Amino acid sequence: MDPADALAQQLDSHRRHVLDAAAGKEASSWAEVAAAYGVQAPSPSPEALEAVGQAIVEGCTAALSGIEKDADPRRVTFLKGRLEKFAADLALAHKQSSGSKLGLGGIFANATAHAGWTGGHGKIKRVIRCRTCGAPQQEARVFVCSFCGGPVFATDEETSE
Amino acid sequence: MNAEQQALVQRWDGFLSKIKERLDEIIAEATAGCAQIAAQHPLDSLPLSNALTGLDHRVRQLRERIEQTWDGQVEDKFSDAGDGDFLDVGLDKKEDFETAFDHHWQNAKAKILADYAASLYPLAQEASQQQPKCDQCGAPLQPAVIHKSETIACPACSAQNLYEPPLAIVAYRGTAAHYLAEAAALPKRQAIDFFRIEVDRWRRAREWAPEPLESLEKWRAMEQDHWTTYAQEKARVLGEPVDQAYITSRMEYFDKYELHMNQVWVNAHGKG
Repeated sequence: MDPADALAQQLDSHRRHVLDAAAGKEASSWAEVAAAYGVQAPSPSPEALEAVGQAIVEGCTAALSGIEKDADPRRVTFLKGRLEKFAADLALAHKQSSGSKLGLGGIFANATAHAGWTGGHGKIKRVIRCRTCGAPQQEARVFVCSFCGGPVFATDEETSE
Repeated sequence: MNAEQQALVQRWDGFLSKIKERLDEIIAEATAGCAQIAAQHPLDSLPLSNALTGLDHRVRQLRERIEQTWDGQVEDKFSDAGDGDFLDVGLDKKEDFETAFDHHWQNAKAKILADYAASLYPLAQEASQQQPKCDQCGAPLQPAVIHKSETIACPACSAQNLYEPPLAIVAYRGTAAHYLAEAAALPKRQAIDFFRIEVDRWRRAREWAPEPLESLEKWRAMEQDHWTTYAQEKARVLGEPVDQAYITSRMEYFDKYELHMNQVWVNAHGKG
């Protein structure tokens, strides 16, 4: 599994854990769970959820910087997109799940669980550059650098290393 | 209708009105919740679509209670309380209610999605004002059309830029146009539902006589009108010509799976 995807799974499991604790579905109390993330909050208020979400984002961002070089850049970009709205989404998901009289809250909370892919849109590099000299591609569909003659993309030997 | 029959109809109506109340409550909560999700994720239709999938399931569960209650507790009572005609009264009430139930939820969903689509328009307009720039030297780039990906050679430094349209434009053209077109065509789809119920009852009253050719022709015209409305609205939103090939493909499907199965139609028009 790509390291960025593994990190995204951990993010999901933190999200579930925090939302369950806020809903009183965990063995530990909300205050204990919040404290484990370094947040002192006696009740799961929107501010408390956002603070816990922010703590998760900070932890995940730190972990991401450690694995970024080994991960697929697109997966990294999409994960960063998720992290941008994670804290606010966590607070909203709790608000929606606790505010429903008809038990529809879980539907709204789950709906936003994997939101955020659009955060990566438009942030992917848009000019292909030579791997050797960094010069931009000069002609579409020609993948030999017009400046140094090197390959624009990795060769088979480089890929298998 | 005798007193016993009236009492039975009243009880059945009472049950159905409870289901309607429950649906109204779901729609009220769904509308508010979906508006909140759309505001939180203005350019990403996935959370909204996820929410509607979950809500669809909940609405379906509620709808199933009509059938379960009818089968388990009501149908026998309507059968025992009168002749076949009285059973038809109960069946018709159930069918009318189910149709109204479906249309009520369809209208609510269409409004949720159309509101979301309308909220994308100013974002798409704003995005269309952005000047794409070369990723290498920053010189302005001119895509052939703003809504399609393409490779553009920078006029200043010749670097090949992979132009990606702004997400607001992609979302507006991709999803919003479809939602707005569906909302515009929905009343015509629902008119077809009513028409088919009317035809079924006409046939039932005549010992399931075949549907007359004029009725089948009317049905086809209504289908054509529905798909034309959809395609016209989509074309209006996108500022493009009406996609006649799309209308033709939808009608070919309808002809093949509805009219070409009908002997009256085939005898009159063949399968061409």
